[in-house]
Amino acid sequence: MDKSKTINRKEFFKKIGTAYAIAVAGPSFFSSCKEKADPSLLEQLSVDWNKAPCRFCGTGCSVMVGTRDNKICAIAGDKKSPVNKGLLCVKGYHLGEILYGEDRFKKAFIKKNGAMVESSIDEALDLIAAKFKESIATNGKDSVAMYGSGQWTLQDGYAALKFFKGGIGTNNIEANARLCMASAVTGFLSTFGKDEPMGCYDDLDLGDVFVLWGNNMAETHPVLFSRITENKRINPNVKIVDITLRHTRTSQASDLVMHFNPQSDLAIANAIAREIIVNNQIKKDFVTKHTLFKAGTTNIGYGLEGVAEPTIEDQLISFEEYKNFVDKYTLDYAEKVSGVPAAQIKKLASYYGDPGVKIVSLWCMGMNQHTRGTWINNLVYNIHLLTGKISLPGSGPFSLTGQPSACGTVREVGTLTHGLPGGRNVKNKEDRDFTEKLWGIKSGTIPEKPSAHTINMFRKLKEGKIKAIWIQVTNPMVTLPDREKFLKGIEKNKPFIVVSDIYPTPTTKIADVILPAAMWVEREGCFGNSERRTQQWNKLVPPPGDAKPDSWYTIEVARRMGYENLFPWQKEEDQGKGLFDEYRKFTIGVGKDLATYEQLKKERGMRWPVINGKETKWRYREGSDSYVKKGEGFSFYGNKKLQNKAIIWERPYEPAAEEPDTEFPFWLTTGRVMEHWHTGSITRRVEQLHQAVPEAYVEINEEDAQRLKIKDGKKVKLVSKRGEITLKAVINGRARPHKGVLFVPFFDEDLLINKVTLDAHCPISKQPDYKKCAVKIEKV
Amino acid sequence: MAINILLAAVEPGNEQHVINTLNNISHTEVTAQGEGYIIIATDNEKSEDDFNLMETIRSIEEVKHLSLVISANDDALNALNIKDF
Repeated sequence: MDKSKTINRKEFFKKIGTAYAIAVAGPSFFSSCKEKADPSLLEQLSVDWNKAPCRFCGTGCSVMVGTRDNKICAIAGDKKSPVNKGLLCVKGYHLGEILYGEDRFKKAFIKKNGAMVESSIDEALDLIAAKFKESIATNGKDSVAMYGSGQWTLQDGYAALKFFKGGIGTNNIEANARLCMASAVTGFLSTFGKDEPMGCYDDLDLGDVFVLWGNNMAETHPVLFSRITENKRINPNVKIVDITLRHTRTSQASDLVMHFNPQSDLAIANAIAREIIVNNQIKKDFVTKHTLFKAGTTNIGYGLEGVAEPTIEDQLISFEEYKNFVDKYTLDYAEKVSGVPAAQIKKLASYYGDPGVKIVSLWCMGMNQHTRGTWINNLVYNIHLLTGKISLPGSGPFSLTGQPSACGTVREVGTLTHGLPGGRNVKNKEDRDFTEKLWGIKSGTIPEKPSAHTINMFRKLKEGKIKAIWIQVTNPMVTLPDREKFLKGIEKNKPFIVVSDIYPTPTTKIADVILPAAMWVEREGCFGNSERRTQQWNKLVPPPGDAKPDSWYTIEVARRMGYENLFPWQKEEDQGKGLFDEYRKFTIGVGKDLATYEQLKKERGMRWPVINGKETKWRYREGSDSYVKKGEGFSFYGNKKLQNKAIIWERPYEPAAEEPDTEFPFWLTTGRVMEHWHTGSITRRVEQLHQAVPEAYVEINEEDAQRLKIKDGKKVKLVSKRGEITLKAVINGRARPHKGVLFVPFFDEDLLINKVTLDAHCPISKQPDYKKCAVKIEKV
Repeated sequence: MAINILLAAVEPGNEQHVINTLNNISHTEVTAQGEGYIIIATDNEKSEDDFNLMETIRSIEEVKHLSLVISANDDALNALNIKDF
């Protein structure tokens, strides 16, 4: 290589990048800038640039993908994107490299005589179809299962759902979003009758106060957090409130940091509601016109294995009954339970209660991975409903997502055991009839009862009740809580396991067949992000070797099993649009109307409901949402049987499933770091990301470490009733847990924290609580 | 990736102080500045550790926010037809 030319190229790239950065930041910030942006510079690169949504979290940043010679060679933030306005986080900038790990699967593999042997795709697909047919014939339809993810494209999820519910006739389909989003879903449904946020990311630019409920946005949603900090830079009165177990990068940017005891968010939220009532800050006309009050079954257990699931009922109550209920949650009581000073709770309540303050509540796994996940979602909605601060620009509750299409594919397509496309439910006859008619299948094909949610699906797998499972684009042998018991059961009963993925993982280790998957821009697809934005991308580079999209594999196996009539699209290039167009029919008229495929190809995504080509920023409010009739003001039209009113719920504080005691004196909470995404199977293959955080560690409070004589960087053993791992102690690292709390990130398959966690879950949403169990820590 | 272009949000008035600090960090170059913002190029081939470099820049007290704006690997750099310029 000519070194002088390399230097010139670098100089040129610096110039382009600088011009791009200026364009990204916008002229208002650069009025005094010495250089002027020249957009044509970027086009002078002999590289093809195309848009695609980022493959990582649920933010849905748009990236510009630079390709040359059938490979990705550069990534840039997409300045035309209203989501990220040209910015990306550190993962996003290394997005292209996730496709090029050395150990990428390029061929199918079949286990023969105990060893994985390279095979043709046809042989693998024939075997899968034969094994599934055999299992169904011998053990019934519910003996086979599909487990997918919020990384499925809309097309992948729709094909899998149609194959299982419309073809085989079983509801045994789940997705890993059960582990991260299910409480948000049941929270939305129980309060509003319809899933997904009413607001949008514009709220981040418009709000006055941002309350982060157990949400380390600076690391887990850095681009969205940058919108808040930018708002704060322009408007210095903007406040950030961080309700947290650890002092994090988010805390550093916050005005009020509330260190709370695990599980006590329930008490804090009720105390805020009480303060609002006591201080006469209820928006009475809104509450009267648009809300009802309900109480539900309490002491609902924790979903633990061997314990019967409770019958959960509810009834309407009066405002007075609700008021009497929250009256117990005085500031003093909340302080006693939560450890948060009463003055801080009062301050936060004053932000919510002040009619002149626009306020956004944000959360993700901190509230959802919770044995009372549905309840805490309800309780935050309560506060917004009592104050009428909802569906307004800069005001509203906002549940964030962790996967690129947890909303789009799992929640909207309905790839859960109870789900059908467009927010429909198998338990509803009208929904089943509509679906069967649209699919052109025999009435009664779709079972009316949900079968098994994720944890029960894997409990059945380990018990040998599910005989064959197909796992697509997810890694449950890292993510399942109390993983060892599942692994032991699977090794004992030896179900037939198919895994479609791109790299070896602990899940491919237990596979009988591995299918090499085409990923991200190696195929055409769509994702749906946290703000109801559907984004489409084209196939930009060929996948390696024999790799194919998951939807293609699903359709090919379905054909081999006799369901070819369900999938009339013969060629892969027809399936992207074909599957989407059919799925879109389910969304029309039910408040989830998607844009046309043609429109999505042109736009940087559209927020549903899209009516006459126009997207919706704020749902449920007249003038913004076409589904709200003139004169209604607000309409929570998901609750048609309840006069289109939202529900304010009576939900008490109840303790966690497992709490520290003398033997296991610490709380363990798990989560993510900015550089790694979920189980690390793709980010750990990007050298720079891996170098940045090469292994998992345990964060320990400085005082706890001193007391136990644990030194920074030294190995310690973390032990629970279920298992143990040894890993490095970090004291005063990038985050500092408060006393009695330990934090371990879950990205490291070699230091698997889910050997230690508990599979307790919210009995309503069935989402496990990865944020709370009891452990002890020992020097090694 | 061979080069990263970083956008640093800086407290207005502190731009020159941050630039002076950046001038002492190897393999970084300030390529543009504006009120409240500085654009920085880092040469990752030379630094061989762009993440620590980013963390170093992020740790400068007056840097309020740091984002990567674009990065490119050798393929992209080689794709430039420099004869055209």
